Amino acid sequence: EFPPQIPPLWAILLPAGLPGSLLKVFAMNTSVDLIPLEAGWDKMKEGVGKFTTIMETDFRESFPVALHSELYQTCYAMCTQKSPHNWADELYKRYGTMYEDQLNKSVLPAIKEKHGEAMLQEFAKRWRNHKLFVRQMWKLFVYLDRFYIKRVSALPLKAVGIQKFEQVVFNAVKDDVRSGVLSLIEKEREGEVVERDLLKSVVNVFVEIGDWRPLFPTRPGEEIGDIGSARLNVYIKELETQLLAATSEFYARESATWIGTDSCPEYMKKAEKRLTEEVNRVASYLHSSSEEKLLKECEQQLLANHQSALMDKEETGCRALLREEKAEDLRRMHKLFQRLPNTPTCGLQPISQIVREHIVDVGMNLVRKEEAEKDHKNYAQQLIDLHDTYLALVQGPFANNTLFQKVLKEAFEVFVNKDIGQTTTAELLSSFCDNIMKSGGDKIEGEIDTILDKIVMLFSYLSDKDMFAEFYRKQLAKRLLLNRSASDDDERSLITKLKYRCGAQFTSKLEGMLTDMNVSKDTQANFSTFLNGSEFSLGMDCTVTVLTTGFWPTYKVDEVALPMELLKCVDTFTRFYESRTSHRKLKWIHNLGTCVLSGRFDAKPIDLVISTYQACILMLFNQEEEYTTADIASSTKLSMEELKKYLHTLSLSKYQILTKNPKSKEIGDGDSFTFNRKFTDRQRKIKMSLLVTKVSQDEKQSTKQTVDEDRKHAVEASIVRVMKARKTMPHTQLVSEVSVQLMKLFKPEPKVIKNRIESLISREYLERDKDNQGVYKYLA
Amino acid sequence: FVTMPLKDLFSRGKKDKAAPAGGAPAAAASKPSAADPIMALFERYKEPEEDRIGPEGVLSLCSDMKIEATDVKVLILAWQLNAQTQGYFTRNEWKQGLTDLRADSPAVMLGRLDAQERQLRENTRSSAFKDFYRFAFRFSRSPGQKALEIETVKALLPIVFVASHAHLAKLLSFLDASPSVRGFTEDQWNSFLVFSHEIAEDFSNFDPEGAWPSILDDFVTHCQQ
Repeated sequence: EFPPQIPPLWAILLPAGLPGSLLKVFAMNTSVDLIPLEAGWDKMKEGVGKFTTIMETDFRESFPVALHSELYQTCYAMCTQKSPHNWADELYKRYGTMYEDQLNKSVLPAIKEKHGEAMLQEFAKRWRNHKLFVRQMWKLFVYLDRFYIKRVSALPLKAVGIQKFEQVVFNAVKDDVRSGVLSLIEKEREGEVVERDLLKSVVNVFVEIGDWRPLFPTRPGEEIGDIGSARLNVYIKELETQLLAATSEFYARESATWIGTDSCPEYMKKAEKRLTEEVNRVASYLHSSSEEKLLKECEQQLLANHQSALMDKEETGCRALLREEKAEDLRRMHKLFQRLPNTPTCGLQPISQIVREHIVDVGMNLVRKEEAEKDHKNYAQQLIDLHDTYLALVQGPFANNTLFQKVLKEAFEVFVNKDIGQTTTAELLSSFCDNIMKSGGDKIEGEIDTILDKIVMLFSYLSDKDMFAEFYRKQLAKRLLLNRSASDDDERSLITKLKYRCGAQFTSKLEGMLTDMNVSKDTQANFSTFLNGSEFSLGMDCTVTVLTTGFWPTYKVDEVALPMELLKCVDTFTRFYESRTSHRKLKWIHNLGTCVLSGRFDAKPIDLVISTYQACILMLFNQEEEYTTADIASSTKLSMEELKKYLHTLSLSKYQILTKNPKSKEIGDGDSFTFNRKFTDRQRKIKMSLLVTKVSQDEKQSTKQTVDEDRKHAVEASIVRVMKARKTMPHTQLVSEVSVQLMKLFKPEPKVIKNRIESLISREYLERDKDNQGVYKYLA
Repeated sequence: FVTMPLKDLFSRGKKDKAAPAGGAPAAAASKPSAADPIMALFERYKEPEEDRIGPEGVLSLCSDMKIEATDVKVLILAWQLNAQTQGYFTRNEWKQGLTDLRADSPAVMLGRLDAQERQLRENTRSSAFKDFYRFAFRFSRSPGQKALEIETVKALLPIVFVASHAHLAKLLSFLDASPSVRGFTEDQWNSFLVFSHEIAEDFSNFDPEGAWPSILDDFVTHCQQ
């Protein structure tokens, strides 16, 4: 109940903030003079009056200490007097009504008599004063707070003070205050300068009024609420909601006036400016929690509602900006529309689709243009350039956003997989690499690697990767065998990059080829040592390259009859090789070989660099003067068709080593040839190799066939792998799993997969489920 | 039987006279007890120098049953007996088969086979029919072959199916129009049965992405043109 001990006055006054030096200790009045209610209340009212005066004279003086302690004592006494003279209840009640009177009498009218900005000023001032007033009153009546309110579960004193303000003043003027605030904000948005400090003070009232509620439970047993969010209830309900609506309306109007006349970049600049302003506005005089909601309204009105209209603007919209490569504007577009929720019709997604369409258009145009060209040497480079352009677009203005990375890939996948007439892009990319590998010498080191990376990028968009691999393999073979490769390192580098993309199995043949070349060098060195150590000599230098079957493309094995001198080399090497290895058989491929013959012409000797076949033909003339076509055919065992090709190069082309009789343009079966002693040339050494390095129509066909065959096997292997693991599977699922497995290499057609399944059924690897037509079972 | 011209049946029978059939060699054939009518029948029809019934015996049996050699009941009989070789019934096949059939004379056999034929005709969705249909394929193959020649397919299908089945007529005309189709695999044959049961006459519920053998895909495409 009441405190048993009367605490000394200073112990109570000190916590109330009185500086110690001003403390005057008053002796406790322990006399038995009881304070009557009205007299005591009048006394208390003195304090109210005093402070009111102080407020009205703008706080020129401070509240007198003596009065303070006197009133404190009075309150104390009135609360501790024994019943029926205990006035605690009454005091508390009058404390409340005291506020009501004050507020109704002077505060409310003062505000109501003003208008507009002046009214807001008054409102803010009165709130400031009221807080001080509440504080002061609390100091005077503080005894009630400490020992009364808990006992009766009443609202603490400060809370009462604030609550009264809310009920009497705030609720009466809030609508006018709100309109005042909103109209100032609208003015500021229209471009006028307004008093930001005033707005801040007024807005704060809404926040602070809400502050007291969660801090002071209003009913017995009520828990202290969630201070954080409940604190803003008044602010949200009485101000923010309306602010958001007004904002929405304002920007709806404004954007409607812009959208018809402004270009897309102009509009975006304006929108960006407005958004920055709003952020600034919140920081200046709104509660920070409003920022997100406020910006959402603005973004909705300024950006979301007009997105399609903006993007679709004919001359200045998204497509136009892409066409004209306006990086700055696109950057702004990305930044702005990134704010919107990510849906298929709003925000970055529709923009990314426009980008995708654009890239596809540009790409398809390139494809169409290229189809009209006679040769396609430049296509790969143009693709690279195109990719560079759009990669820069994705990385720059679109900040490497994954959405745009995705559409870049999708777009390129569309046109990179279009054939150029009869030629596939796979082939053209491979030929491009071929050129680089052959001429690499004239580029600086890092440059080649960069180009290779870009090619691998394009390669990754191909769905027929195995087609590329097959062309590449054929061309690599030619480079290696004709010694056209500028740099072994570059060759390895590209193969490593491909391996990284597609796995070791993809590049195993290519790597095997490179290894063969190295091993052949070693073998050749050993062969030289072997020759040096032996008794006989070959009479010429002989270099042999040994190829592992399976890595290399299939070459026709010859039946050509070599002249004795060459046969000796072949036999010697064969003996040497078979002595060094076991279980290996050599098959000779002379149509890839070259020979250097010394031609003893009348004028001067000239070295002829020719193919082995041509050498076989020419060396016949060491034995006889004259041969007919038929003779040569039977001696060399070459087919007529091939022979005529070679004879043409030797007798009817640039260098006529043989003289043909008759002098017709065609090689006839009965034509006769003699050695042309009279032949001469400026140079001492001429190259006459017949070997073709461009991809012929036949090669295209054979490559396609090889790829188709390999695909059939790959599909079957995949089907068996899947079925072995799962034992049973329905048809559509099997088709889709196989497709997924093979996707890295090529896109298998469902029809092909079905054919292979049927083949496997008839070969009894699989069977159909007897009761379910659509399900397959693995046969172990 | 139903699939080979009669003269081939005869010439085949004569050629194979020298080779003994699977089962007990002719010399060691034991005389069945007179009380066993099934084996008595066997003795009646069997080849003189082999322990099995050959094409001539089958012809004899047919005439005793008063049916044509091309009657489907002969195929049904083969099915019942689970005969392994076209044109021949071994001793064991005969014994087991006729015991299961509960027939011991041509007249009874005729009755049973008639009943079977009716049952199969009436209920083409039964597992018995499925078994019979599949048997027909395996049985009609030339020895050592995995597939069935297309001419045989075209002859066999109308016999096994009720000739008036909607898909059947269209399939036959499709096969006539597709010279590149040389034969049917077992899978294709078996699938056609399921197809005939599941797929509507207008092919409205046919899924080209489904598990049907591609020959049936081609068939449907052909009909829809």
